[in-house]
Amino acid sequence: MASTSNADVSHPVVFTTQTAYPLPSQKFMIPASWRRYQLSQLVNKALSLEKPVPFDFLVRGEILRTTLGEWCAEKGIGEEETLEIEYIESVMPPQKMSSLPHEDWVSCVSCQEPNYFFTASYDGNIRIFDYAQSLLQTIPVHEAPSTSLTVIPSNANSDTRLIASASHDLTARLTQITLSTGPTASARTLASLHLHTAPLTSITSNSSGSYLLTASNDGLIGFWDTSIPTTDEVALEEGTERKKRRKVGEDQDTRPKRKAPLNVLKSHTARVSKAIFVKSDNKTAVSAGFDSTVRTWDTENGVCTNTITASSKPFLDIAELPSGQSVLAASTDRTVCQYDLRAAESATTASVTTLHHSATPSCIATSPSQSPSSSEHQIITGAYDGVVRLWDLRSTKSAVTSFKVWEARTGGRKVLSVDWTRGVVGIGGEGGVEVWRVGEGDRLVPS
Amino acid sequence: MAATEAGRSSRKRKTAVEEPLNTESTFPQNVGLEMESDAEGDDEGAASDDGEVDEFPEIDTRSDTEDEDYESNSEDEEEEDEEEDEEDQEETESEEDDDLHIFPKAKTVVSDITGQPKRVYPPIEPDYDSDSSTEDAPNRVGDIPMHWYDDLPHVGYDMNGRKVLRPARGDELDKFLETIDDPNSWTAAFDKKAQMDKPLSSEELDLIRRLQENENPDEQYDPYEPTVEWFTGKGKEEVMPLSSAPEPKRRWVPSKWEKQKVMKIVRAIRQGRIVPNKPRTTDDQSRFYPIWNEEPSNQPAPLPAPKPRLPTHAESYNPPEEYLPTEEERKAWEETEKEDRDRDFLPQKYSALRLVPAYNQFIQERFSRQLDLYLAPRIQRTKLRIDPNSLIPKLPSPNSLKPFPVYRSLTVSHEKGRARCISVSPDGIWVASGDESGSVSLWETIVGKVVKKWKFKGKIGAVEWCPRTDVCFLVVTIEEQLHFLIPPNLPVAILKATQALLAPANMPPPPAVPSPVKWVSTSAAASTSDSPILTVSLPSGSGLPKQLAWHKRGDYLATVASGEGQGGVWIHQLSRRHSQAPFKKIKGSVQLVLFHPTKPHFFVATQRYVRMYNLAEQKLLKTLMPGIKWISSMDVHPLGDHLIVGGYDRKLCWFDLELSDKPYKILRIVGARKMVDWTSPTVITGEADVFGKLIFSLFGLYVWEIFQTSDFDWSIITGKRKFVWPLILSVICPDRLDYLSFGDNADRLHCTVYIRLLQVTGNLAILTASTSLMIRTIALWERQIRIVIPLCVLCLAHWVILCRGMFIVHAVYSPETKSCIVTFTDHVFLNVGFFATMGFDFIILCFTVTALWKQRTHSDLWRLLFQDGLMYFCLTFFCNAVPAILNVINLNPLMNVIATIPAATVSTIASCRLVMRLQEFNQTKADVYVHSSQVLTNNNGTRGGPIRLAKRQTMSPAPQVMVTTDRIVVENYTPTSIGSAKTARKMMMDLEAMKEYSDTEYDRESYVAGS
Repeated sequence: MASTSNADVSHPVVFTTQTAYPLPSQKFMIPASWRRYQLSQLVNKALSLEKPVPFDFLVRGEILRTTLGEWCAEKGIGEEETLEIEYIESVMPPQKMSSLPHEDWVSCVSCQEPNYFFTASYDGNIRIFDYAQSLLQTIPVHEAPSTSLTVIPSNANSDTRLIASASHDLTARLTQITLSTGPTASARTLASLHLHTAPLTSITSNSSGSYLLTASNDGLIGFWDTSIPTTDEVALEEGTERKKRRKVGEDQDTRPKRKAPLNVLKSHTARVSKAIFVKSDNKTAVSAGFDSTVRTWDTENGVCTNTITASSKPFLDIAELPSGQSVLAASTDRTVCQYDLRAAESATTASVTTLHHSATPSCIATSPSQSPSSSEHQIITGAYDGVVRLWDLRSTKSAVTSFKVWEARTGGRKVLSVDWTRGVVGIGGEGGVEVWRVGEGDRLVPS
Repeated sequence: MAATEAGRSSRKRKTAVEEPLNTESTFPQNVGLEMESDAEGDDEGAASDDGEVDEFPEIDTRSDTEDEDYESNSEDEEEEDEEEDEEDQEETESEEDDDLHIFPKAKTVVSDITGQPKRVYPPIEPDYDSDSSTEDAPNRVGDIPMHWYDDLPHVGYDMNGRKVLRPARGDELDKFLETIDDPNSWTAAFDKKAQMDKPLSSEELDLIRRLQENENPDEQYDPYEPTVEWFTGKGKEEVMPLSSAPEPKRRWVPSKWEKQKVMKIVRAIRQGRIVPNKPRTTDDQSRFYPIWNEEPSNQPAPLPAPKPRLPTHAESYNPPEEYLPTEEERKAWEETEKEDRDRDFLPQKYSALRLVPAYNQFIQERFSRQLDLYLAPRIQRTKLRIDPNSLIPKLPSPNSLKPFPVYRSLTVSHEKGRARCISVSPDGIWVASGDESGSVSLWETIVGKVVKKWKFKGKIGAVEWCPRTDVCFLVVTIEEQLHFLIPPNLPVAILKATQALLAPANMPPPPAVPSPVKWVSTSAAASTSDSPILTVSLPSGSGLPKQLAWHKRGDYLATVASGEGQGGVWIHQLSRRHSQAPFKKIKGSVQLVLFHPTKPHFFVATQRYVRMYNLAEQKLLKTLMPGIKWISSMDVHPLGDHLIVGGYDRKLCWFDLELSDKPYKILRIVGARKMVDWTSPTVITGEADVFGKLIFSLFGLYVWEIFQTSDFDWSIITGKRKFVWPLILSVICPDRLDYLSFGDNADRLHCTVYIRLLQVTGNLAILTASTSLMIRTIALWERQIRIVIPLCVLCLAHWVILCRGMFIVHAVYSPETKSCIVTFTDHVFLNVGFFATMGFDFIILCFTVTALWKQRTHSDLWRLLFQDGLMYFCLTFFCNAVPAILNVINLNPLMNVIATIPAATVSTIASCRLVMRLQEFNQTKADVYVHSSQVLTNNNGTRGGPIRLAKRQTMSPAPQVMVTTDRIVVENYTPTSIGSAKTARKMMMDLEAMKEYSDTEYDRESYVAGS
């Protein structure tokens, strides 16, 4: 091999993959001037795929963005060294699909229900949009800003859904809605959950829709079931009675029933930002709070079974990875850390992976479980600078791709919530809601 | 050496005998053989026994035999005697003829036996000093036992070696017969050597007789000699004979004076004035001490001399080949400095040790070694081996200093007014902020979402949350009022407690003394979170409370208002709904107040000091002096023993309250200094402002100058002076600068015209100034053609360049700054213009200096002239250099031209003055200069007074006397002036009266008095 010029320099390369397109393990001599595109073509030709599949290439935990030679020169890797390159199916550049304008900030967006978007806004309303960007319903559930909502999954095929929403007014509410575009659309608040003495920060349900978890600024986590009580379980406070009565009216039946928690999880010493159920186990919950801890709970007994303590990382959001073994937690020191739930309890637990952001990450969405295995490493984070980033946990140095929402306005506008299902990412925040298409192109939902 | 000398001398003696005498006389002169000649002379001296001996007694002492020893022992004496020996030499030479007879003269006779001629010396005649010549004993056998000769017929040998025959001896009978025959025979004695009886002489007999009679054997000895009177006798009496007086009494009586002295000492000892024994001090006690008990000295032991390095193969005289330097190494070694060489020799190879030359560096090495020892004594030097990194203070890792702000997490904006105050709720969830437009926002800390807004009239002075946790409200101050607000969405229990606190159902009893502060609260039932539940109205005129300070327990609240009276400090108690002013009067304006968290102490910060009061005892505890010019902030540690005070002068003082009233530590904020951004519009606007003001001030200066020199113009206009064409320049110069100020009020639409005009006039000023200076130079050179022509050519080129440069500046009117803004300048061409001006000025400066230098010999006024004239030239040159330099730097379009106007003004003034001097120079043929700089410096202490300059020219009809005077009249209006009188007085100062003395002497004093 006469390497007379730089262009002729070749690197010995071994390709590995976890995708469905494995190459025979064999050493390739790759010219240093090759980029992702040539490598992707090489894999496609070597496998003689009928339909070209674009690939991205991970070299030592980094996605190759320059030529191979430049990468090696930057890292100081000699041309004799054999590189192990892992290739993954590349993510298509995100595309903006639609924008759902709101008058106030959107604190939470949910696109778990196919064909619908549910948003909770700081004006206390819950809004329902369909994919045609048309506003179906505006439900004034709360008088105070609502901070979180979740659509309780139900097995029934009917159009009625139960929505749980949390608010600054110290309650969470269960609202029954009827999903239809016609005039039959209706909403009725069935119950209000009374436990907390500080604004609620999140409400989540388990995958079967039987239980709810609320987290609040008072450091408590409430564990509730989704059944609607027939009578008030919590007595009405004297000071608010008159107001409630005036607001709700004299109809005692339509007034939401006051519901008490099944259990109260007390262990956090500061505000709790979010509490979620572990997907595999309906009885186990994970929560993160401003006391820099990630706690695992046995919800039935109401005890904290495991505590992961980080050092000065007030956590803002937590999400479970599809693998079920670890959680991601976003903290105000501008990192998103991955913690292994199985780790033994110790003074300070080092994170498995740390993703550095340039602004405070406020929300995390893991890839939907329906996605193929290749994307189980991908997560989406939204940050206060208005940038939504798509990460691959195998490449932690930088985000795979990122895009800025609400470009029309100058300055960063905070992203407060992201939700990712079926290639659709709903982004809620300061500028309303935007819907982007992220993921495989052929799996896109027609809009 | 002695042997060789002896040999030489003997040889010499032979040659001296054999050689003819003439050679002998020349011999000692041609070679330095003084030794030989010396020895020869000695011999001669020893051999000869003439009258010369007396003159050289030292020679006389040397015998022949001693000569060798003498020479070998005392060479020094030889050298000392050299000169004398030379004198000997000459004298002995002169005596040679007489001395020759001392040697036995050899006669050459023909031998009888061999028939050959032989040298025969005459027999030695025994002389006085010849040894053994006094005896004529024939037998020479010496002192041997004579019985050796008993059997032989002879008894010994005589002097010539002949046998001395035994004399015939008779038998006993013959002896007897002889005694009978000779009566004297008994006086004979047997001579052993002669083996015969020899008759004794009469002297011998006499000697024998004396010995027998025990008499002195010496015949001459007289035992009865007459007495020689040495000490006695007539005239030899002793003058001072020993006294036989009896011993005086004092010899044996104890001395009275000694006793007195002893008694004095004894008395002193008794009285203790003299301590008999030296008092035992600690030194005496420690006279015996264990010598190893001391701590070993910290001083290092004296440094041993450094050991010389052992020689290696390279130092060998015959090193292996690999040690020999190559040609390049040798060259490099030779080229390096001696101090920089890594070794001070080059290995050299010699096949044998005997071929090694002398060490050529020996002297140098020894000398440098001596220098080392002399100049650098071997003391231990503590070398400063400091790692420069260790000098850098160890900064803590940033991680250990966390938390500190590293990035801006979120922004909450108040659109309408500037946010002036902020407060975080005790639980940290909410933040309240107030702005100048009167709105108070409540927003979430972590999200930054404003959830509630209150609107008030007027500025918000301060916002503070109540530090209690069982109730939740915040206090907002506006002008003369305090509003208590309850945030929304409170839990019912807290809400009720808050309402009960702020709007109690049962009002507490009003205080005995009615307070001017009104507490008004809405009822708890009617209260909402939209309006304040409680309003506290301060007395009118108290102004806006700019600070709120809560006590830690949340019952007391202190406000500092900016208004008049009581320092504006009020302390409000919530539970009693009562307000009081703690201070009747307080020194200075109160900036901040603060409650001590645990004790009933109260901190009050005025502009400079922090005072600490005890509220319970109502007294001042201490005054802390932070040393800050203006205190801006203050806080106390939650435990209450530390206080930090911040100031507007970037200082932070940390007080430990239990220690002194001086700061325990002062921390300073060191900010990075920023370079000016020359292209930013704000900077350019500021420059434009400066530019306009500069033009105005220069215009004022110029008007003053015109006024001052107006008589010159007037004299031209009225024709008093003869008009010469160069004067037109000096008339033009002042007039066109007037446009500068008119232009400033120019119509805003004609901005470009204005700037053009500015540029035209500026360039014209520079041109005329330079040309005036040139004319001056030409005048100094007395209009020599070789000077005039090149200067005129240069001047023309200068004119062309500057005339082109009048039209390169562009400007537009900026409505924001209400002035013209220079938008574009062709700075390359500006450069050309400025450097042309600079160069031209420099050239004429050089010419002037040269001309002045030439005139130096015949002008007494040269010094004055030099200073005065050259000052203007230099001024012009440097003034033009400033805009040129600014232009090269090219900061922005305005900075390129900002210095042109001052340059033009100064150079115009300078050149005009020069031209006027030139005019006088032409008229009077004498240089008379007035130092305008003295005008300002001469008035002692009356700088502020108005200065009126009166200038008068006096022209004398006599052609010889020229007097020009400048007089300055200073009217001193300051009646409090120390030296002068109470009344204003006029000071007249004769600045300068330069006179050219000729036949008539001018009396200056009388002139001053007369005027």
